[in-house]
Amino acid sequence: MITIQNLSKTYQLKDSKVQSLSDISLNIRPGTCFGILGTNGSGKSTLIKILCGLMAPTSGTARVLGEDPSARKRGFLKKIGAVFGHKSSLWWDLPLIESFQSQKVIYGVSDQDYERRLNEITEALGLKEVLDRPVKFMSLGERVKSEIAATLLYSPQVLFLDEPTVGLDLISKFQLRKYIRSWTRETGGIVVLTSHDMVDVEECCDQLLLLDKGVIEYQGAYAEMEKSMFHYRVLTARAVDQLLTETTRKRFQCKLYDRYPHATISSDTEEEVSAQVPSAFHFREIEALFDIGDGIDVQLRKPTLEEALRSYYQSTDRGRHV
Amino acid sequence: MFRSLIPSALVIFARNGMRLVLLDRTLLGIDYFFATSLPLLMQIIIWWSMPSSISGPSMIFYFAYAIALNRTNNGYSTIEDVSYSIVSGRIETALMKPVNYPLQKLAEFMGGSIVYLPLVIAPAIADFAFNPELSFSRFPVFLGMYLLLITLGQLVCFLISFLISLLTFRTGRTDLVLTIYLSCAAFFGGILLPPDLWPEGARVIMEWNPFAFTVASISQFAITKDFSQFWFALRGGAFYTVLLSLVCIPIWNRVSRQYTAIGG
Repeated sequence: MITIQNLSKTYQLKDSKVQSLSDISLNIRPGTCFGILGTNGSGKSTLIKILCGLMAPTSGTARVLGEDPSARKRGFLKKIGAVFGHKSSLWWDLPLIESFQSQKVIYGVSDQDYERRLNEITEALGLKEVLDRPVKFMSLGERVKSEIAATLLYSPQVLFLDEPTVGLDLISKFQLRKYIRSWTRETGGIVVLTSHDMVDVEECCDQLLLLDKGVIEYQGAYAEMEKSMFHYRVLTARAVDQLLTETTRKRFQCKLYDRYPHATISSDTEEEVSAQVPSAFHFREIEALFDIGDGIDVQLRKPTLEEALRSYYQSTDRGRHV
Repeated sequence: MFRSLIPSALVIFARNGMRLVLLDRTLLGIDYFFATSLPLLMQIIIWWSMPSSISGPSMIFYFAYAIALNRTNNGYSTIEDVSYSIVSGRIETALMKPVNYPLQKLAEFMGGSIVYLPLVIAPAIADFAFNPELSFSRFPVFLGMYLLLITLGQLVCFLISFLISLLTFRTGRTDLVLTIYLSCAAFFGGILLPPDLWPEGARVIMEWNPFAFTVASISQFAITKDFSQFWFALRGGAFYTVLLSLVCIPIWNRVSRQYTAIGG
């Protein structure tokens, strides 16, 4: 369990102060994959560092597994794990397996547990072939996966992942997301994840925290966030064999605004025209907007998390959803 | 600091520290040959040409010991590693481990230094082999006392290096802290001149500063084999080990908690 109450963090710079987090309160239950979203400078990494014990809050309290993380007690550190993007904890010049064996000794993992977890994790993350390779000769994606594997070897109860998929290819991202989901369900552990890749959040997270300038903008289940923020659909018309004529594009815009004055055109090029339309928009209405013929592919879909958040951050009318 | 002592974990850090030194064969070769043989050759040439009233075999052997000890009791790699970790933020990953960070670095340092043991034992063997006044029956006792002083010297060297590297929290620069260390070690360590060749006023500083207990005082004992010199080096090494530890612990606790690599 992670509990935060009225937590704030202020950085004291030479001539000024930076309020990184302001009055944050939340609870994270076991078996949850918790995503923290926000623009650069919103306080995501600061929050993770406080929960890891790397820094103390300026005010308020944080409790992870019932303990104060900033005390950094040995027993507590054995129960948590953290992966910080590009910052490596592996032994750079030594083969990967040496780093894993070092973790085994440092965290007191039994031989049996070590062998079983090593086999399972390296299989799931595709690391079996690089075990004897020095870390410095691994690709970025392999290093990131190895960092996560090294942390999972001692089976922490809480796993902090700060931008874990940075630098990973599509296959590796897929493997990692799948493993995180299954690990959370099977072990009942907590994963706290920050990422700029929205697909990480869409595919892994049950609960979300949306931060903006250190303040909670949204906190709750991902499904509920969808309902409150995904209140529109994205209508896209793409040219297939020929480019969209200007006449077609202008007619589309006029007809759309006639029907939905508050619709927003998000893309208007010769290859594609795209608009945000209300959720009530029905596919039948497309016929009225286009002279449908060969050469146009029309799609009506839910916005991606990235599109919804971009739209949310760019809008001036934002309320708190907690 | 010592609550988190986990012997098996520290052995791992020491073992990996040793392996990292052994893996870098180029640097090892440079350390063993160019960084020791060339300076030693220069010293032999210089002191061989000096009048016998101030030179002689003991002076050459002093520099043989001093050069070898300067390779072994050398905090350059520790400072570089710690300082870079602070600047890059990589120290955060080390702080997440359930082993006190200074102890991690101490174990790595001492593990890496084991590779240089042959370098410090070589002048001792040569000393006994070429000096007809010395009996090899005394060698084991001498070696035990010599290695004890080297171990204390290692602790002092590490503590000095670690403290200097913590300046990175203030300066944000690795090159600056390295320069500070190298300058102080070369000047105060007794590598340029033995302490007793310094003028009277400077001799106290040259004999009693902490750097002297990593090189000069051990070298002085090695060439004199005098028990009073051993006792002086032992007391000084123990004194600075305790003093520097008492300084290091609160400073480390303070800077590591105030450390803010702001943001992600």
